[in-house]
Amino acid sequence: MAHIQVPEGLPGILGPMAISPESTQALRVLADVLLRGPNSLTPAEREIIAAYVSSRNDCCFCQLSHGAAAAEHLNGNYELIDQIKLDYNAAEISDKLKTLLTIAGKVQKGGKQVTTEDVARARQQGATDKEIHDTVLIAAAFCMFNRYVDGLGTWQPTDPEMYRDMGKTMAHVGYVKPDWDKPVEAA
Amino acid sequence: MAHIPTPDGLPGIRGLFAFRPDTALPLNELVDVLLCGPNSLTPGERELIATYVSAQNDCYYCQTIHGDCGSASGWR
Repeated sequence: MAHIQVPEGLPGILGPMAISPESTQALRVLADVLLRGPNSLTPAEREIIAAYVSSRNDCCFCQLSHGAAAAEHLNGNYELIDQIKLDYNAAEISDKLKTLLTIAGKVQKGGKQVTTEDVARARQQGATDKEIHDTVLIAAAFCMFNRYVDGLGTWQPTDPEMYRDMGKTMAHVGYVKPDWDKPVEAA
Repeated sequence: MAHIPTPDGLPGIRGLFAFRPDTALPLNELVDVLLCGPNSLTPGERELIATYVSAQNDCYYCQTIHGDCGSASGWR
């Protein structure tokens, strides 16, 4: 049970969002700009960064929902997402994305953990200033989202299947449509 | 020096906002809602929470700027 009263049937961030519409709108717009706005990093790459950071923060809801969104951007490649969370250096992703995940992983530990060497390695693989900026911001934003979801003790289903439809909506509809937070069936 | 080139003379997050206005906008809207919007917690109380967390994270810019905002709000 969450630390505060939220509507039944809304998992993770959807519960607190339902009772705080003013901050919800700002959070939704932020997520949409970060993960789906025009960018040289694909939406899949950006959702992968979000899911990876969320897994490092051990946030069930965020890693499963954004992992599903990433997979849905990649024709349902859920295995790749699992591999990335386990060991991204062994996953079939670009070397550039690997260097960006290293930066994201450092941000998750603490902003000051990012070194000039981490950034240089990303540049060597072709990462632009904007891509480095966005990687750090997505990682930092997801530390915020993870702490929001966990800090209020929200209900977080652990069955990955429950997140597939949510992932499809996140990937193909986005974060700012008003009806994406309808109550879901409990497992 | 920042890891990416930001305009000279802009400290902390301000340099990053100038570098990337598209993400600055939703971030500023979020901060405005959280710290200044109508709330039973006063703006001073909310700035105090922000300053405290930033101090715990050892982030010099954020703890200082939100400390100043809190003082201006009278910490009430």
